[in-house]
Amino acid sequence: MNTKLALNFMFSCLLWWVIIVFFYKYIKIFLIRLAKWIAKISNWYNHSSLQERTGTFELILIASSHVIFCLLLIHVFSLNLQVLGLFKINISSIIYGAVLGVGEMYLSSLLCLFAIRLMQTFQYQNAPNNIEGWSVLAKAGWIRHHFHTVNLIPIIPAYLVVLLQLASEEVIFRGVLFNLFLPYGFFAAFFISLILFAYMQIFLMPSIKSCIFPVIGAITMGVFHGYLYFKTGELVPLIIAHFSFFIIALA
Amino acid sequence: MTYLHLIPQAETYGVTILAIFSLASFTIARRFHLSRGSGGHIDFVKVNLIVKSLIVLYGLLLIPMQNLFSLKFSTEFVACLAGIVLGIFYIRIEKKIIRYFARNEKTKNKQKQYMLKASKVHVIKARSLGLSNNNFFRRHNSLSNQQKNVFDYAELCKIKLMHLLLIAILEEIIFRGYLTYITLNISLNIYNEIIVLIFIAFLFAFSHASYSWPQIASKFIFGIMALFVFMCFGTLTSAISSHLYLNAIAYKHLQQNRKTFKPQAI
Repeated sequence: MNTKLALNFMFSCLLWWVIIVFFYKYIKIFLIRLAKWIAKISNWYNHSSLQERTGTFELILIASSHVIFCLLLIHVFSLNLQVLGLFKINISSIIYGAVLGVGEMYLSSLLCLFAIRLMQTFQYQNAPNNIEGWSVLAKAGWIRHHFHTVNLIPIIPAYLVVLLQLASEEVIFRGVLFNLFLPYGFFAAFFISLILFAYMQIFLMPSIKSCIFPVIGAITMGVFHGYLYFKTGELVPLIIAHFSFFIIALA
Repeated sequence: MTYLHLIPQAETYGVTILAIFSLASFTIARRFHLSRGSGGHIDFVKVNLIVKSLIVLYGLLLIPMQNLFSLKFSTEFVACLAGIVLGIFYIRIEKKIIRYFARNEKTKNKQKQYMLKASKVHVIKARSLGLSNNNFFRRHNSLSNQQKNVFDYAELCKIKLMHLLLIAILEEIIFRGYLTYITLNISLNIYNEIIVLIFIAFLFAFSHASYSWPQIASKFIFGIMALFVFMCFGTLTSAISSHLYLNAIAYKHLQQNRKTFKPQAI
C-alpha cells in the first residue's frame, strides 16, 4: 500500500468522524432546544401533553435537517443520485426488502435476548429484573420521538416523517459513505459504514444500558445492508427494509 | 432453477433472507407464541415446528436437497452409526458441564436475594424521570413473570415425542445444512469461514434461550461437533441421527422429572 493512499484514507476517516459527531450530536442538541421552544409557543395539538408535542416537533425538525444534510453531502462530494442507485427500482426487489427488514428485526431481538441474559447473570446489580424495566430501557433515548409522533399525529403523515429520516440515513451511510470509501477496498468501505452507523446510535442516550439495543440493531442491519449494496447496487429495497424494521419496532 | 433467472438479483436477496430467517427462527416462533392470537393455547414446540417447516420449504427453492445428502447407502449407514456414537459421547460431556456449573450455585442464591429486594426499583426510578407513558406498557403488563413461568411449565407437560423428533430433523437441515452451504458458497478466506461457522453454532446454542446456562454452553459444543461430523461424512444423516437420539433422551428425562422441573423465563 502506498503511503499517500494510506494518508488519504486516515484523513478521510477523521473527516467523516468529525462530520458525523458534529451533525448527530451538536446540531441535534440545538434542534431539540428549538423544538422545546416551539412547543411552548405554538397552539398546535394543545390538548396533549408537552412531552408528546416536543417529541413530534423534534422528529419533524430532525427529519428535515437530515434531508438538507444529505443533499448537501451529495452536492459537496459531487455525486449523482443515479450513481448512488436511487433510481434502480424493481418491484420484486422491493418485496424482498420488506421481508428482509422483518428478518433483521427478529435476528437483532435474538441478540438482544442474549445481551439481556448476560446482564442478568454478570451485572445483576445494575440491571432490571422485570420485563417492564427492560422495556423502559429499550424505549428510552432518541426512539421516544418516534413513539410520540406515532401516538399524536394520524398514522400516514407520522410514518411519512419517519420514512424521510430513515431514507436519508440510508443514503448517507450506505450510498455516500460506501461510494466514497470503495477506492480503498471493499472491506474498508464495509467496516467504516458499519462502525459509524453503530457509533451514531450512542449520541443523546441516557445510559449505556439503553444503548445496547439500537447498537445491536445497527450492527445486524449494517452487515447485511453493506453486503447487499455491494452486490446489487440498489438503495430502494434497503430503505424499505429499514422502514419495515421500524414499523415492527414502533408497533 | 430456471425461474430465478427471470427475476433480477433473486439469488442474492433470496439467500440473505434465508440466512436471516433461519438464524432468527427462534424469536419469530417466540413472537407468534406470545402474541394475542395464540393466547397461550398452542405449544411453543408446535409453533416452532410450523415456523421451521416453512423456512425449510422456502429453502428448497434455492438449495436443492441433493447437495446435503450423499445418496449412497453405505456412507449413510456408517454416518448414522457415527451420529449415534456422537450422541452418546455428547451426553457424558453435558453431564460434566452441568456438574461444573452446579458448584457455583452459591452466587446464584445471592443474586436471587438481591432480585427480591430490588425488583421494582428501576421501574419507579424511570417513572420519576417521566419516561413511562402508559402506551409503552400496554402489551407487557398483561402477564407477570410468575404467570409466564406457570404457562411454560404447563406447556412442557403437553409436549409430544413426535414433535420433538420432527424438530430435530428440521433444525439440522436449517443450521447444519442450509447455513453451512451458504457460508461455503460465499467467497471468503478459510479463517473467516471458520469464524462465521462458529458464530452460527453460537446462535444455534442461544436459540435454546429459555433453558439454563449450562445447557446453552453444552449446545454450543454440540453444534461444533455436529458440524465437524457433517463436514467429515458429507451427509446430514450423521447430524440428524445424533440430534434424534439426544431429543429422545431429553423427552425421557423430562417425563421422569416432570414434578421437580422449573424452567427459567426471561
